[in-house]
Amino acid sequence: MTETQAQAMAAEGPVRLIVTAGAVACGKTTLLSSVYELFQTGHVKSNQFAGCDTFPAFEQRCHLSRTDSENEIPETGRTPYDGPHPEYLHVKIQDGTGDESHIDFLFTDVSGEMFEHARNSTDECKRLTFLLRASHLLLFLDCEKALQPEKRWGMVQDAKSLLQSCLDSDMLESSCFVTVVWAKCDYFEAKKYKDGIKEFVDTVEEDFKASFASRIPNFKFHRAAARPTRFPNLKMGFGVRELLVDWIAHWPQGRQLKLEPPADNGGQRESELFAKRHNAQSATA
Amino acid sequence: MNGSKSHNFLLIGLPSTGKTSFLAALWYAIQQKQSPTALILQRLDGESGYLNKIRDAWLAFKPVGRNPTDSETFVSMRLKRSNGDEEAHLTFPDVSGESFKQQWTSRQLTASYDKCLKSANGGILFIHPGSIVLPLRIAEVDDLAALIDDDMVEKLAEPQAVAPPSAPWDIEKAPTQVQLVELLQFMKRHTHFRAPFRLAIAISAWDLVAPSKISPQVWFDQQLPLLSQFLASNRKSFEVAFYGVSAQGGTYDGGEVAALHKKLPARRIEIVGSDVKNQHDITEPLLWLMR
Repeated sequence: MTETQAQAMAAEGPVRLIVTAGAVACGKTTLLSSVYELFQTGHVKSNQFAGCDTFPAFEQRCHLSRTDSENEIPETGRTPYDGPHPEYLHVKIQDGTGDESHIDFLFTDVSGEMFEHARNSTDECKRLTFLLRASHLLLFLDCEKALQPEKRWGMVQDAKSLLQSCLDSDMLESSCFVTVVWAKCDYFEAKKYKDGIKEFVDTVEEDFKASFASRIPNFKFHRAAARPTRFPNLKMGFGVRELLVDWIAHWPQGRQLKLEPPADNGGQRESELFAKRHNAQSATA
Repeated sequence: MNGSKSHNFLLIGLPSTGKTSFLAALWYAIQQKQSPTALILQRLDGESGYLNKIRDAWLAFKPVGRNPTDSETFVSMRLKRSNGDEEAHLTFPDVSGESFKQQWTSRQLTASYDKCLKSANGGILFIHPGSIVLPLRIAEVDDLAALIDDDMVEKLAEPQAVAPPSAPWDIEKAPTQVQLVELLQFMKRHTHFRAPFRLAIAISAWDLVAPSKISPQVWFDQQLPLLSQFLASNRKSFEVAFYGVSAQGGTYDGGEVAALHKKLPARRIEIVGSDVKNQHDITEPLLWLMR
């Protein structure tokens, strides 16, 4: 789905935009594909599949992890870099058993190169206009790289620089929920000695909090292993179901309008006087 | 004609899912008198050569043949209730399974199917248990292998040597449930789509599934969970009923055909599912659609 098609969909009705950001091969597309794959086998938590406008795109992305590919090891194809506009993937779900309470999700599938440019230049970051519409931003930290001493701190710093660039270029609304995802966490789980890992994770999370918590009201960390080949006991879509629940529960653009004047308003307009009388009546009832 | 209603029902299904066998058995069933059916032929009306041809094949225990892509045969039947005067004029476009497949691969509807959609007020979606393509993940297969061989878990976690190149993605091989949801989405988005659209789900060759003693709906939910969720979450758009239909009565190979020879032709037909009153009455899904 192109930028134009995504905007047309957003014009027709409410859409929640989930942006996945991170370096090349950190697992962004794999995580998105796993959302789709989870629905292929049944409900995800209490949510059920209600439609998809990008079936071929999802199928293509899942191909290398399916037996049809004749691969021995599941893989995900690399998302090509093609300018500042992402390709969008769409899933419609029904939240609970309510009568057609559908939620449309659009996910950006963006190449890691695009975020490299955005990390290195606020001007480039400003070209990623989709960021302004994001309900949730998932910033990926690659656990595979976190186990490589020569790569781990560079990986962390790159992710921090990207987030800093998004904030400094005013491309992230303060209402946007930002989740730092420890992706491919099966690499951590597969390690016999986890003390060093815990220390590293704690240090990184403290560093992120110190740097960004004051600028991002909704900031948290999460672990996921969309395709846990290193530690299969985690099962496909580990941590992804919880992310979906989070995207459903928190929708900054969908908050109540609060059109009713407050009860303690000092106004003299008829609507304000009515609100005072109405609230007084409600309080005594 | 006393209160004759026109019904245009779509027969929807990917290739080899039993649409034409259903038509052949139906054409025979509504004209015979050995086994009662709720709907019977009121009178012949126009061209029936195609229906006669597939019926003859069905009666001779021969495959009814596949409807080629370029041949979209429209069949028409004037029926009446066997226990009343209500009449119905049913038209079915016998659209080839390949045409439905092309909708998925080329993302386009043929002009004739588009015309059918405009006038359709119900449909039967055919699913064949033997031709379902599952979204089989490599990891799932590995999990199964690991159940058999404990050492497999460690082997799978080990980095592999240079792997052979992957087979390219082929849109035609997409999972059945994905293709079917897309077909229904195309219908739903059609300008003339009228909700709620009645959709009878016919699981053909039910004789293959029947020994498992599960209902058609349970089987459907288990085998095609994505499609099942889609229909459940789009109840305002699609009203569904589930049927297991064995139009042939069994396979035509081996010893099974000898058992079929002993039955009256109309008794070969077996149907189970939503409120089915007569297990040999293939008109039951049509009755539900006409309700």
